[in-house]
Amino acid sequence: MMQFLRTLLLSFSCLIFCQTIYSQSLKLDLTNNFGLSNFQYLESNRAIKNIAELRSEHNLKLKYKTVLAANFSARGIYNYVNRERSRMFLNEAYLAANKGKLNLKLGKQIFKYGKLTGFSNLDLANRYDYFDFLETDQEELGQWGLASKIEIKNIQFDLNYVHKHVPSVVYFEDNPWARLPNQINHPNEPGVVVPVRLQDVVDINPEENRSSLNLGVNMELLGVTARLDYYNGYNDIPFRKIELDYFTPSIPMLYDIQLSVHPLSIYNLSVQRLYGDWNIWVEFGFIKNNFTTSAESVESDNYSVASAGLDRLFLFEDPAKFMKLVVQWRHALWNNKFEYQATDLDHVLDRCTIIDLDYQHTYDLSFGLRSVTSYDGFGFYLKPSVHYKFSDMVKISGGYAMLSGNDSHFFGHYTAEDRLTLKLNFQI
Amino acid sequence: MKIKFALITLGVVLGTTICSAQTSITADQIMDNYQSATAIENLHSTLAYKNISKKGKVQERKLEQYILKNENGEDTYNFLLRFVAPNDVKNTATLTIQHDEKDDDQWLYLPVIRSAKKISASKKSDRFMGTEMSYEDLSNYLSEPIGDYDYELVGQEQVLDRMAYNIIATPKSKTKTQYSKRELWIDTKTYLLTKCEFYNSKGKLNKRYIAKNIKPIKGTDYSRAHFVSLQNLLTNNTTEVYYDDFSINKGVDKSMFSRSYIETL
Repeated sequence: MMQFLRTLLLSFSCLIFCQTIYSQSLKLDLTNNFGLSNFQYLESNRAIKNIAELRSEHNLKLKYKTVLAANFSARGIYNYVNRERSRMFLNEAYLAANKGKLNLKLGKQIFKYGKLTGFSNLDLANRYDYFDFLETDQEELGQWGLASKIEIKNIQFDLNYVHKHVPSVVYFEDNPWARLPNQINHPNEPGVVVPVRLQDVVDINPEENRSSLNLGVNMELLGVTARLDYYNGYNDIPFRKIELDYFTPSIPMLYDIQLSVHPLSIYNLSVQRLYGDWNIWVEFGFIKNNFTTSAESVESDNYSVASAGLDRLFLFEDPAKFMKLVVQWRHALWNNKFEYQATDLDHVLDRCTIIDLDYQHTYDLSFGLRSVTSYDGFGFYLKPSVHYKFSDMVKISGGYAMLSGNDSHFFGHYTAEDRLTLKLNFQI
Repeated sequence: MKIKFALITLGVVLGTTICSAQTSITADQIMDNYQSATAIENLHSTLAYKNISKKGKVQERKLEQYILKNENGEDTYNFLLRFVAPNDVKNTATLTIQHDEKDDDQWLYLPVIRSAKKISASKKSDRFMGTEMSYEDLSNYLSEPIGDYDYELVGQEQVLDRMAYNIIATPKSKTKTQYSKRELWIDTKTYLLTKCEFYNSKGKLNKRYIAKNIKPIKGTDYSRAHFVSLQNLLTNNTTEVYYDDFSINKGVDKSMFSRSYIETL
């Protein structure tokens, strides 16, 4: 709660700061967003039945003409279940400069590599706070680096450099997605099962110099937009290895989760074209990833993913009504060397269809529907939602997330995570 | 008595001269004057629009607009609209690059996906950003397509508190348009459009445009309407636009009209 109060204090300090700056004729813009969310789990036989969270986000942008801007974004979270999640941090702090057709952003910023309306292969490298695996829209995390774009006629070149790659935040305790073992086979004594308890989570290579680079070329020719990308960096999701602590005598035995970060490279080509009101795209990516075997050795895992999709905005006679539709199909061509586990996040969307539908019925009332169907090791996720705006400042959203399928797939493995969601947002 | 007669004669002569000067102006000359009054090199203003549905529901948005004449045609423009309020659409932007010979290019920047997406601007009858203004209306607003229409002056009328030339604009046979004709009222003093009625392809009155609060722009010879309403008479939906802080031909940075720029807004 203290952190949340500190965030409030920060926002008021920002307001005072803004007033001062404004008098000096710099253009500035401050957005404050406060939210209260609640996840109510429906299965009665579970440890965590309800998760409530307070959240505040503050974005301050200072602009000098069109050539220079400074952007600061702070986020404060108070989670009633997880102390690790409760924190306040500066998520973005960067300077942006525009000179002709050259744009530079230097500092801590969110790198979103994929440019598709749907899920792109390049999105595998984005950094998130994975407190929840399903709702990641507002969970993007910043990294220190440089983003640059330059346009030459119909060609846009992108160069993104992250100075020190920091993996996504994952949670092992007080989190409904964490399934920690309470007993394991003793590694040195075959056939012996020992009760265990988590002692610590340790990053085993935190000081390594891990930089990542993304080069992209976007060109338009004869109504077709083609984009070629190369990402060479690290996987945002760290590998987990359980290491028993033999030196501390304890029953149950203590263990550490050792986190290690491994390289990831993506070669990606996407092509899109407008056919009337339909935007149609195809994407093909070659992914050089790594895989932890059951013997906990790390081996290279190269595979390809082909994808096709379309999106469209439907307008109606009533100007308040519109519908946005995104449909995507993804198919991974695995190398068949490894059998991926249900909990392997990199492969959740490997072979699936994704449908996203947003329908605004009135200026105040809208509905959403998201579904993901995995056709390999069947898994299914469906989330209908409803959103109501009391005013431009206050909005409430409710939804029901439903997971089903085989235990071998992510969605089937987590069927106990069905929940009702309720979110209240206040923006000033 | 002689003096009185002379004054009456002078009055009649002057009156006749003025009347003949007013009636001798042709529709094409009025349209040329209209185009000169609206022709700009660049423009920046703030604006707020209200969409009012037939049920009385209101949606309000505040924006900034930047317009810059480009070299893709005789009267073609780059047009950047950036939403500044409310917060849920803040920083959303549309960039339109007009072309003479081909369809306009248009990009939409959505802050959520942090990327600009090319969108279809090929259907001229589509509503622009949920307003009653169609892409064709927007294009005509930026520059009246004089070469695509035949204009006929049918008289003068009072529109609200101002006198206006009443002109019928009929599309030429090769012109691609959603309208069978437009009836224009051009202000006799400023040569700005004060009223326009749009007839659909079936000849039915479809939309009515009214411009009010015409004021000179400081430091320029231009005047601009500061309030515009566009009512769809078939659906009874209305868009009202309030303009402010006009800056005309004072310079707009050319680099703003690029996909890269709107992605760094």
